[in-house]
Amino acid sequence: MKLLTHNMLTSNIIKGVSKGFPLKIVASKVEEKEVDFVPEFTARMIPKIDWPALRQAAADLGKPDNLPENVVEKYEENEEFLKKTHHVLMELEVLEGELICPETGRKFPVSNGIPNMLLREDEV
Amino acid sequence: MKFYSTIGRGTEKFFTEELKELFLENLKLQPTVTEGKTFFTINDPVDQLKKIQKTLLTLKTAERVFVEVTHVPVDKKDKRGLLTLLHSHLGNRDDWRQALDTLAKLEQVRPDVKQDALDSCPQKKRRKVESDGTTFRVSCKLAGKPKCKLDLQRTSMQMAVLISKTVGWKTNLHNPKYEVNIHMNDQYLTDALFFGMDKSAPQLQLASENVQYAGLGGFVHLIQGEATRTGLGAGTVDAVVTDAPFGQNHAVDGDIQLFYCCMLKEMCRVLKPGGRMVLLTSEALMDTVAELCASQQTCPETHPIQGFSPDPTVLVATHCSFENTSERLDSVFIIPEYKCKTDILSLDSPCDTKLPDQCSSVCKDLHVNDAIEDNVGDNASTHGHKVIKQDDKEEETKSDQTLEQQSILSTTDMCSRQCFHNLTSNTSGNNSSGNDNSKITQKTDECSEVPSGGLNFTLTNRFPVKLGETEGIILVMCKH
Repeated sequence: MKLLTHNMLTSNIIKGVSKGFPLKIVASKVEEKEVDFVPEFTARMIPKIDWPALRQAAADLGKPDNLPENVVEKYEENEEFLKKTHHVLMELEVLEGELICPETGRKFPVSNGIPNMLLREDEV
Repeated sequence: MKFYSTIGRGTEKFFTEELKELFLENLKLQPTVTEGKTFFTINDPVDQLKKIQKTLLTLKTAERVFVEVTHVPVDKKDKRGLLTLLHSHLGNRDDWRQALDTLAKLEQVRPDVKQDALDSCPQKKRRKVESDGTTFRVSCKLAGKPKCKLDLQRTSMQMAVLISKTVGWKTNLHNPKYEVNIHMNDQYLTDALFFGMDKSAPQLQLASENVQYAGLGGFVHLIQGEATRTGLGAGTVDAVVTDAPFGQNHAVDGDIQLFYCCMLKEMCRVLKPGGRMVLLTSEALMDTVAELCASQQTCPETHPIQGFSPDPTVLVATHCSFENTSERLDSVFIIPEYKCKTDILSLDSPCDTKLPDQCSSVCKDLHVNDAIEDNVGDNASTHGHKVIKQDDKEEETKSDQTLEQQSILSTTDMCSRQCFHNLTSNTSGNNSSGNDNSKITQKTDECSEVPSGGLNFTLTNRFPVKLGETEGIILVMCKH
């Protein structure tokens, strides 16, 4: 599960959860894998992501990675910023671990890089 | 000297390596935009002409080598725009001058290569001596949007006339000295991020393998989740493609009507305003889905689902937040379910006669053409099928037809992919036809190269090429 995906996931499927975002990551296996850097792609994803959540996620993985506190101005032209963002969004992959709901503590497992957001029968 | 070469898909890397090895610093490669083709320039120190020519003729990794006249982006043009583009570029003497110059240079150094060796070489130029001036033939291929807008035959003829005027060559269909290749297709960009979602872990595992095999790990992310409860935030997704269970071969837990109700609600929620969804459904369920789409219960009042046509098997629902009109659909894609492969061969005009009249009044743009070639697109992309050889005896149009009959892509693969292609094509009314006579089943193992499973379409290297111009986040759901 890449951090870009994590940035879109919430636990709002659980009853009683109001926001359910961001999910805390507790990872037992993380992989750093190179992915082709496409500046336009990264630039387009930036407005869609929640930046503080991304920083928090990177920190959860133990890789704060010098992401600035806020998205820089005119990020589209700032190649260095885009590269750093690309690295955090796309090149860090949680292979095994858990995503934890901030409100209920419910844990969603991640196995083989795929997060499992299915609820159990009793939770539905 | 500008050239381009057609190569087998996936072997572009080897080709560029071979080129680099052979031409060293004299070579300049263009970034490849189209799969299956590589554009390159060779600087021509005069004394090296013979060597260059011989090398080009004996390239191991290329299929054919062409001298490039012009290579320009097509962009989003309508018919007139496309024709103007063709006219202005093919009628441009300067572009031709350079190409002719290249040809002349290479032709000078003929004597070494034997005639029979030449004929078996993958070289475009034919060395038949003509006493009545240089002859040529136009080989025109249109794919994607240009294909829908232009008439192939007429365009070919017009171009032939134009070239004749510009360059002074005479047309000769059967034994031309040169073949002029005109190829127009869409510019495809892999700009979208895809979430592939399924409930089943084993399916996802297979999908994961597919993704790795195709090298698409950057753009395709998998999530295990349910259609009724995706776990995604509201308004995070630009487009949805799904093939939800029909309740026939694949059942849902509980009542199917309820399932659809919840699913559509969820889709409404995760789609951003203006987002689009393509839902494949069965005839039996169509009415249900249609009603649900129209109902206020499915979506909150501010986000009604607009525009659907009650009859076709596939609905395209546009999720628009501001108007509450019975706006007509942008496009309707008909994907009749459970048609078998042989139908494709025998159908001339697949669905024209079957379409109810209501459809055409509801839809701004109704596409029912035989979509095989559209699904196939560039003939080099046809999975498992050989490129039709154009020998001197066959005319271009005839080979196109043969291609049509021979090209049967894997079913669900083609179906979903076309669906996808249409969904991700940007503007309304400009989509290529969506009629697809493939069988929709859950057996996705008809594509022998890559193990299928998980996502409803086979992810291969070709796939991203067909994604159109979507720039957002796309949620793909599978049948479970």
